[in-house]
Amino acid sequence: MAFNVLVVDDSAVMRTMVIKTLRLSGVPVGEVYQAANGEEGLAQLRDHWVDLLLLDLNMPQMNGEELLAEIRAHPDTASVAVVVVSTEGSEARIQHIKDLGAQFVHKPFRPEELRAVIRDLTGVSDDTFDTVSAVPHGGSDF
Amino acid sequence: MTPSTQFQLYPTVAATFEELAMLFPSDELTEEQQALPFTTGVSVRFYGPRSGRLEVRTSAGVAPAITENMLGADGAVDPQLQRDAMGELGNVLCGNIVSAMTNGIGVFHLHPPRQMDQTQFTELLEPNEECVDIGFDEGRAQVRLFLSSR
Repeated sequence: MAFNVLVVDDSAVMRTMVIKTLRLSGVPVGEVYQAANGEEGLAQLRDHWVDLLLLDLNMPQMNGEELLAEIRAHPDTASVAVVVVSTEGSEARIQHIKDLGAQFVHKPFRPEELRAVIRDLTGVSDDTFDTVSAVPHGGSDF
Repeated sequence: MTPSTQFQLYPTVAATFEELAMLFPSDELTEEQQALPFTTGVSVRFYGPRSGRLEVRTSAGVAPAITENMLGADGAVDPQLQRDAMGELGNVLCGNIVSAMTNGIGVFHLHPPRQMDQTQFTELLEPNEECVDIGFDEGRAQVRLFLSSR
């Protein structure tokens, strides 16, 4: 399987970095959607099937924690795999994110860190990642 | 009290430049690097267990290099993307520094990054401010950390 991915971050540069790092990680990627804040993220979730959400915390309008709470409260999106990608260093806040069923990756991050948390979160094995990601995909020039 | 009584600013700054922007610091600043004027900057205010402000200033050539490296792009990048990249660098530096300062204890809130230009750069350090200078092949950067009084 390939994951349909939604990247929510208010920085266009960081969204591009996240997508490139994800492709480098060997995680099989299908469609990639982007949003600049939580509200846009919710709209994307309503419009598309998303398997994996990569989410920043500090954003205008609706921040990452608010979006995560909305996702978990709605039956259609409650089970979406979520990785929070943030500079957050507070152990209490990170624990709160994990209590909401999300994994956490600290910025800046490496492809192998992203791969490991996605593997843990989805239960998809490394063998499966490697088999699927052997199919060529574009844009992994990072 | 200065921040350096609790942690060292330089290692956090150098590691973030390396890992996020893929700019590798030179051992020490050359006279040429020291003479380069700052042309671009970004400021991030924070509050929480400690409150204050982080500023990042760069000489010409550094912001484009940061942006190209972050995007994995070759050649000229849009000025808006350069501002975006500088903002994200400031955000990540600030997040990492306040975390290192308090060892992950307490919750900090970061304001959105604010762009700065040369007219807003002051030379003098305030009493509760410290800075590090860092040199690269592409020029130099300076990171200033100001802590408000409790």
